[in-house]
Amino acid sequence: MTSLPQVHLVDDDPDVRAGVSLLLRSADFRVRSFADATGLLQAITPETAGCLVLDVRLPDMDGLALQARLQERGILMPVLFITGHGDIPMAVRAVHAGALDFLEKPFDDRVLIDGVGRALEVDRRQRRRREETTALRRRLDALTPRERDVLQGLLDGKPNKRIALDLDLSVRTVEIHRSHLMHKMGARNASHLARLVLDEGAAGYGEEA
Amino acid sequence: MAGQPLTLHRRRTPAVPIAPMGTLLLRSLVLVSLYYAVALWGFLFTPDPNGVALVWPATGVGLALVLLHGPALLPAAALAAGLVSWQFHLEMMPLAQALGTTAATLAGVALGARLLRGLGFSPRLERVRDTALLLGVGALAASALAAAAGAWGLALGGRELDFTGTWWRCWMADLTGLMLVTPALLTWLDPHAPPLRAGVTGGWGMPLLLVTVTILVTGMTYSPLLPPALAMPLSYAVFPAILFSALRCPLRITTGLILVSGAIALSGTGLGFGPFADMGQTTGLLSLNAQLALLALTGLLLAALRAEREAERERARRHLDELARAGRLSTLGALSSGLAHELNQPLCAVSSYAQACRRLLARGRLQELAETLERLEAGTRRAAETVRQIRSFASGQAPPRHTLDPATLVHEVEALLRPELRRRGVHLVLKLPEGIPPLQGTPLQVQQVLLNLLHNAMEAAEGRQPAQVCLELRREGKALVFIVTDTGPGIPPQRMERLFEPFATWKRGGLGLGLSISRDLVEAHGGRLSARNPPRGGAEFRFDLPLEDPHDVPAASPSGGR
Repeated sequence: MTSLPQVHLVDDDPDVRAGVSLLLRSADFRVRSFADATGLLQAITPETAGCLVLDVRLPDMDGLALQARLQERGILMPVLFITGHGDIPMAVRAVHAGALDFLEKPFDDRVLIDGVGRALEVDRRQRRRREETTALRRRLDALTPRERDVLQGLLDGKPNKRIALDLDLSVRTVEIHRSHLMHKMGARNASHLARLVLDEGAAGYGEEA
Repeated sequence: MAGQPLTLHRRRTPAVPIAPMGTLLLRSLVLVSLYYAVALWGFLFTPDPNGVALVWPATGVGLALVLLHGPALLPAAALAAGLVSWQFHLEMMPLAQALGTTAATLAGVALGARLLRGLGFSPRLERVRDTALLLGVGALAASALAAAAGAWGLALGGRELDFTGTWWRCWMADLTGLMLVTPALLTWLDPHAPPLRAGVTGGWGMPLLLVTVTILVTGMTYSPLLPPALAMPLSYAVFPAILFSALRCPLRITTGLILVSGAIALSGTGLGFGPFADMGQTTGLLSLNAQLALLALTGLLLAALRAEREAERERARRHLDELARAGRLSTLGALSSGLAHELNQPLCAVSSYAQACRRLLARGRLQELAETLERLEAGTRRAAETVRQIRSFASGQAPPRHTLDPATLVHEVEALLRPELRRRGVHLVLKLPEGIPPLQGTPLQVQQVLLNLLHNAMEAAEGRQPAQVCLELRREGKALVFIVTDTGPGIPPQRMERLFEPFATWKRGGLGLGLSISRDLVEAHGGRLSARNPPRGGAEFRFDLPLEDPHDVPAASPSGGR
């Protein structure tokens, strides 16, 4: 479904690019490097797994603009900024705008490697969560309108009898719907079902109901 | 001289450092020998039975050496004067008077040297003031005293002598001797003088020719070969040689020529030859001495005037150098954050390589380790190159002009400016034609002008659409033209007129010296810097540098407008 996680390094200085990617490779990360923001934007999609290591000042775009562009495109990979002398204020703004961290050049290898490791971990968690959300959404989409009504009743904590009364159905019919939807949602029991739907943040569900 | 800083305005000559005993003895020996030799020579050409020498350079010798080496030589001067008195005067006067003569001569030398030192006289004779002081103070004090001593000695010697006449002749003899001998000794024996080689710029041909001509012409004039009617006008023939030497040769050559021609003229006259020999003693002596004194004065004054002009030119050049350095430092300051970034990049790469090396080593990936070490080395070289460029640009000394390759100059300037261009998002276009001929000039100064113009253009173009600066080199006739254009708003018309004047800035944070210094530097290279707003927009600065032979390029000189 998605490629293996990679570190995407963008710096216009060839020496820095070579040095940093070699360092990351020596710590067993996969690295793709780019000389400018345009090259990076052409190479990645929202599905790309990994993280971004960006110089805050690139020839075609500064770090903040690139960050905005990535968000526009739904690319949510964590960003680590690296900065040369004098760009600290911009790096701070970048962190406020959602970057994971910034490192001042030249940096300590452990700090960089830890940072990249952390970024990849964040990306993995985000991605898994997004996948789970997508799966849940698919399951919810598979429910019939009636089953959804029953699910709403269950989430509101109503007993079957009450749901049957509210929906003008027989208790037996409600039980059948309930059994179907428990199966479709992969829930073991009512409380598991509630946790699945509410905890995994099916945010749109309430509006629909 | 502890109080010297407080009395700077009195321009005192610095004290002569105390020399070791051996040096002192050697110098004393030189003084005594020279003094004795010239006294002997003076008496040889003394036709007067009363012992009044035709010329008396001994006082000049004493004055020159005491001026050069300080009062420590006064005992030697006393010894020399005593020796001469004993040898030549003792038969004419009693011991007490001979001692008196010696003491008066010595007092003359001491007082003359003291006065000259006190008045800031420089033995280099490179100022008109020094020549005037030597002639005025030295001649008046030393000669008058010495002459008084001579006359006094002679008068006391019981001869039937007219005191005033004797005094007058003695003084004349002393003054001529001093004018001939003292400048030559001061310039040739000065231990701090630069080597003679350094002053001879156009080869040794000219000095040798002048010496030959002077000796031949003076020798002919004061020889029995020529009739007086021909010898008299010929006695002025030495003037052009002295004048030429004063203008073209080191001062030492000039003083040497004056001494040699004077010695030949006096010797010839003493032997009874030449145009002045038949005039009768007083008249002939007076005429010859006057001519020689005028010759010496003319040569010395002319040489001093030339030295003063050269010193003034040198001062202006140094002033421009200092101003240019201040300008470079200010430019570097403006570029510093970009340059720091430029330095930080290779440092970051190097640090990454080094850390990667450690990891590769720990894992035994030796092949990759070796490759990485090579790249690490390349990174340190890059950083070192940036540091070298900054340092050479900030350095104080502008190396002397030599042949420079314009393309190299331009690329070095581009390297200094690149980080700042990048930071401001300004694009630099270089139009360098193939085969640009080399230039003659001072690389640092040409680069400074380029950097200044490009920096201004960059500031003007920043934030414009497009933000672009263009540097074009073009050969036009015998000149190489540098044209800097930008896409900025152009020069405000009301600024145009005073654009190159110092402090005429309209930018915030600028001193307004950049363009003024740039123009002076271009003009010092024999070129011209101009500005205009071309019809297509933006501003255009252009300057041309001549592509000619180095000898045709005028030396750095002060320009107008200051």
